Amino acid sequence: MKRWLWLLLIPLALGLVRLRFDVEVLNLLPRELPVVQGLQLYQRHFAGANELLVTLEARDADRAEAAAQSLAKSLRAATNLVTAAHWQPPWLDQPEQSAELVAVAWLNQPPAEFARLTNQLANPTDTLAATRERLATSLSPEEIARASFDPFGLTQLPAAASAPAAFGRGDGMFASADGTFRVVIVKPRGALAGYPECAAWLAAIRAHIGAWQRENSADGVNLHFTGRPVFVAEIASGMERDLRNSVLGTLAIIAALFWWAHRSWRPLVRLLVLLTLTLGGALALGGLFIGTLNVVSLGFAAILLGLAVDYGLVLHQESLARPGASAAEVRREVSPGIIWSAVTTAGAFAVLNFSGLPGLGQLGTLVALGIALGAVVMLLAYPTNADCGAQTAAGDQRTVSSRSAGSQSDVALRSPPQSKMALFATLALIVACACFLFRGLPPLFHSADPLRPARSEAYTTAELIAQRLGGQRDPLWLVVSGRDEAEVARRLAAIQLTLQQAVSNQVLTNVLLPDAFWPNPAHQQANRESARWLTAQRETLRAAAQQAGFATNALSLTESILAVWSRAANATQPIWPTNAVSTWTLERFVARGEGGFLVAGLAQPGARAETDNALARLAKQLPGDGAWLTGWSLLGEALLGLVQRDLRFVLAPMLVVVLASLWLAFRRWTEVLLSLVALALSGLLLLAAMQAAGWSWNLLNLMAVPLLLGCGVDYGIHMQMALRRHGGDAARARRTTGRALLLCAATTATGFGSLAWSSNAGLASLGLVCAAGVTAAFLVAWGLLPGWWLWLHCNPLSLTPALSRWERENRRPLSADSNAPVTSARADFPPLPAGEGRGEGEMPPSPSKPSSLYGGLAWRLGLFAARVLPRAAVGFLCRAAAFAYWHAQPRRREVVIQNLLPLHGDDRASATLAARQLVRNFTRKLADLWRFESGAPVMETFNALAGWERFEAAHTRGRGVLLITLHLGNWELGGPIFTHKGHRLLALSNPEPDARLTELRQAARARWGVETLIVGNDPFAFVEVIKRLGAGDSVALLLDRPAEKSVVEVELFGRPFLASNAAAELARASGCAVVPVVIVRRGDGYAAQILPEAAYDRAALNNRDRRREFTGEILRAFEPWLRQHPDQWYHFVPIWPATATK
Amino acid sequence: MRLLGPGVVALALGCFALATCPSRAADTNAIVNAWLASQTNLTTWQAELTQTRALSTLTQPLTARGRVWFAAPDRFRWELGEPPQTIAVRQPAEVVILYPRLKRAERYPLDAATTGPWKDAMTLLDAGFPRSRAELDAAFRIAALTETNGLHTLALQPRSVAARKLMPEIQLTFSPRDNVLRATQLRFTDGSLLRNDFTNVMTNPKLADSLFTPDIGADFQISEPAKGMKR
Repeated sequence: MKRWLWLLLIPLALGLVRLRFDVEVLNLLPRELPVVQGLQLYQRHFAGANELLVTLEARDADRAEAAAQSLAKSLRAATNLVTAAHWQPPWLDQPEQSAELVAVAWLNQPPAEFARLTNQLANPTDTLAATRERLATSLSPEEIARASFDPFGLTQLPAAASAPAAFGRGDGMFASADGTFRVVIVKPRGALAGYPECAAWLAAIRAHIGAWQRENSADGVNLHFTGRPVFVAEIASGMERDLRNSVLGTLAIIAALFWWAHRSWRPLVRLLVLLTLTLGGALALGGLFIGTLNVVSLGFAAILLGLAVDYGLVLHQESLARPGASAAEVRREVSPGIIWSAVTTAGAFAVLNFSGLPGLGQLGTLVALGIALGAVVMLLAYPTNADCGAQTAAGDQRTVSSRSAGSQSDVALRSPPQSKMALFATLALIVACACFLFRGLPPLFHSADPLRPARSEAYTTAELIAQRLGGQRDPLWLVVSGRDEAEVARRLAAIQLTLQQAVSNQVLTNVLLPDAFWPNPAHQQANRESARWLTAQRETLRAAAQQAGFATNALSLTESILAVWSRAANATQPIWPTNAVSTWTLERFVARGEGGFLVAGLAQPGARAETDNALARLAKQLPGDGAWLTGWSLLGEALLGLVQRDLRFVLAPMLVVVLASLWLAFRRWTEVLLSLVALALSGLLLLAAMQAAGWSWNLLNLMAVPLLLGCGVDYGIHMQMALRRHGGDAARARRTTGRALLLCAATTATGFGSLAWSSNAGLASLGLVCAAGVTAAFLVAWGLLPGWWLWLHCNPLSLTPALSRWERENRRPLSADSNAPVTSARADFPPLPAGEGRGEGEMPPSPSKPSSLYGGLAWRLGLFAARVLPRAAVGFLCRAAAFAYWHAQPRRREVVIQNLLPLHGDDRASATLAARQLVRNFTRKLADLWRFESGAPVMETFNALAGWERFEAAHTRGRGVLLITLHLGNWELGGPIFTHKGHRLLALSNPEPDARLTELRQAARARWGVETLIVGNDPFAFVEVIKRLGAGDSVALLLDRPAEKSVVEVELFGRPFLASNAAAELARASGCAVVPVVIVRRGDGYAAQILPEAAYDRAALNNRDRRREFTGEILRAFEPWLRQHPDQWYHFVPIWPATATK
Repeated sequence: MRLLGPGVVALALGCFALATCPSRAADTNAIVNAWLASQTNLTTWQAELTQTRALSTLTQPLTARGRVWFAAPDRFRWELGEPPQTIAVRQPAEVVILYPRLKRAERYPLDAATTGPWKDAMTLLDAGFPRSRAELDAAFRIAALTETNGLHTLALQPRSVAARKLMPEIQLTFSPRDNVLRATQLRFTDGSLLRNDFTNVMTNPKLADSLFTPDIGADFQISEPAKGMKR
């Protein structure tokens, strides 16, 4: 690393230092929404903004009351922690202080109202008589109690005409109706600024309460905590836990998946280190650019890990699959896929900034930054095999080999993609999804609950309080702000009419606005003179009361009120209540700060609140600036509307990004279209899965749609890129890139899925939907997309203009007439001369896909036709079939042409002619073979047999004869030549595509006395062969169909050719005679030619190179015959390695 | 956090002088059961009453005359004042308080969901006419039974804490001879007393249903204080 790069660490370190947790859930929401503004103001300034609520629940009311009283007393004693602790309304403890609140409330009344009071008190006798009558006749306990201590009716405020409505509310704040549930309200000492302070204070309080419980044997009392300090501490600790658990959990699963796939420590450790660096870098960038992590955006860590690991996995997988490739080559090969994948994914997350939800936008920004960083880190720093040295490469290569030898997972990965199967499976999936979605799409959840904590003691306790104390679960709040008392008072007055109409229209049932208690400067100023006069009437009032029979204690309230008015009469500024009870009471609905004043009121939704969105309309009718009707129930609808609206704005650029990326990646509409179809089917699968699981859409997980659009498209890009690179070899694409994608999808789904345990319900649902969507996208891209791709592309190699050397060298061949793939790590593939084939729009076939016609059913039909039809008719059918095949199978046709090019000096025209003839000859050969296998006389078809003496000579030596031939002419017919002459012949064969066909062909040979030994991958098969040779028998072997473990590179027609070294190995092992044999069609029959025995020095064959040379010598013995009969060398899959073209 | 309204202040003032006091209980099952047994035969009941309120804030008790009608199991009508200043009509589902002079009516629902002091107060008003021992025990604890001048006085303590805080004790005075209710007395936490002395008691008279149907004039202002609703 260059030295200056270390300078980058400075801003990164600054970013990490700057990073903070933002625990305010409402900060996730768009501030432009009035309902959000109102809620933010309410949560910040009211709702017990800085109070702890301790709930106590006991078996009986007395015990609960005693416990609450005792706890409050104990907490008050902890003066280092607590400013105040209330177990009942403070005015019950200090009732005399209530007078101040009443006095100020009167001063705030309109002057006319205050004048009415003045007039009333000017003649106190009537007032006192009325009070006495009420005391004598009232049945209301409240009225009796009030009138007893308020003989002049001073507590009967005009605005409090509905006072009985709130009867019991004061005590109801602290105790349930049955008294078994109580609340103690605790005010902390000092401001709890941040979550560390909240957590520390709460821990100290819990410890104190724990000690109190032990001292007071309060075991039977259940305690719970809520209030802002608990919420802050809980959310912050939940965020830390979520971040830690999701990161560690995702890393652990990534490590497990990597180990499962590769079983290699060093790359695993490197991968984890790079992921950690990426995460740290992303956190630092987040700290620099954003500064905070909120409850939603912290989910970025797991998502990022799940996505960034993909790039490392793709690099690693490709490097494993290309052991000989340099690091630069590997990176060059995979970097387009990684870059485009990073662009689309980062783009998808970046457009979350258009979602209207700032929290989600922050998540998108962080993931986008992290993905870009992750792609760069992985491409620059992830070591490939070339970087790691031979040891690692060898180790990983062993892994590949051992897996390709037959581990279950690899078998799954190598499942051959059949276009028809893919189309059928697609149809079946669509039908299955339609069944699930028959009853409808997953519903849309309108509530704001997804924003709330998923598992929260504070929230549960708050709900419990609302439930037990008889409050509303989702009340509405009215918040009014103003620069000064006068402005707030004007606004309070301004909204009165609107609210009254709302009550009349049953949109609201009740509105409690503390306008009576709000200091109204104008009213106070106007009422001061009257207050002064009333103060002067103190003695008169006292005398009148005593004369009316009221005791001295009945006048204490009146005295206190007059004292406040006396003070107010001389004031020049608006009067606020100042004593403890008044302050505590005012804090419920009044806040001062931020350069202004706030007042909060309470409203209850009415019967018609839901009609025509009446509440939302009412909220809009309030003055836009300075008055808000808000509540969680309003928030859900408002946000959902916003999210649904913004979803269009998110999806539109997302689609553009995706389409642009797809076009830039492929530059072919067919592949772009395939990617889109794959995305659509993934979406359908997701909807069906959601419906089956009973999930619903909500305002957070709706954003999974653009995310999945961005993430899901990657699988399609990678898979189609791999199909291109591998010339349409779907099995190979799956084994290399597909396996990497499997890991990628698993890790991505894990990253998203780990959010299911998030403490935020919305984030959890977003994670689950994304995990399901990613899984669906992968399954479609991996399972179905290759089939669609092959179905649409006739010539996949035309899509590979820039095949790497490694890619060209590592194509895998298939035998001409066998479906069994020869799984060689170094197989051959025909070169594609630049420009050739593409001009005609023709392409070679996939080497991994043998003809689907070669199967048991087709073979039996052929046998049947050969048995029952006249020879002429069979011949006609064969010619017709050849014609049809030549024109219907352009991929096969191109393969055959490519195979014949070296035999025609790369003269394409000549090779094409020969290829066409080859197809015709092949159909005739098949007809003859079916006749032969159906038991028709065969010897009469031979019109020449030359070199028999060579066989006799070899056989005479008694060490067995290895008859070598190629896929030339009709080699199967040669068997009877030997068996008719009394020789035992064993034919070596690979397994046929299905067991029934293998048996069929084995039985046909047996009919002619030819035994069959199925070799396949059985290493012990050759023991039997050596034994037979040792017994002097003859064994027939095809040399141009190399099995995986016997392949060697030899020279044929001056070019490299991959052949089987089985002949040389058997010669070394048994000392047998090696005799090449050719059986080709000549005229209307066949000519058999036994070529000169291939001589060798058995001892020299112990040398590996010599065995390879000997193989070449045997093969070159066929060159004249191949030149003479190129149209009978039947190979329908590529046979030449790429180097043969150079 | 709940917003406090003016009613809270009113309550605070109401609680200004309330205090608690201890209570006692006695084993008087036989007498109580006998009295309760007689109550089962009671279908209707009416009486004139003199209500005396001895409040701690008044130097002299206040008295008011009135009438009361009861129909089993749960209907009654109280009238206080002459002419009536306050009329309380209890129906199965609600209590309606009428203030004829003030042209005001208040409805207090008594459904199961209703809780709070008014529900407790209604329970107390019902206390004079318990139908069974179980019914009595559900609402009250028997604190004492005393005999004075040939009359038994049963002291009951509300089981509800809220009711007990309002009225820690209620006394029922009845004659053991005819098991007729003679008086009730409510004692408030501040020591205030509310006593009803019944005269001209009639057992099982025929009562018109209209007695238990509140006659709310069209010009009355009706409120439901328990719900805070107003029209």
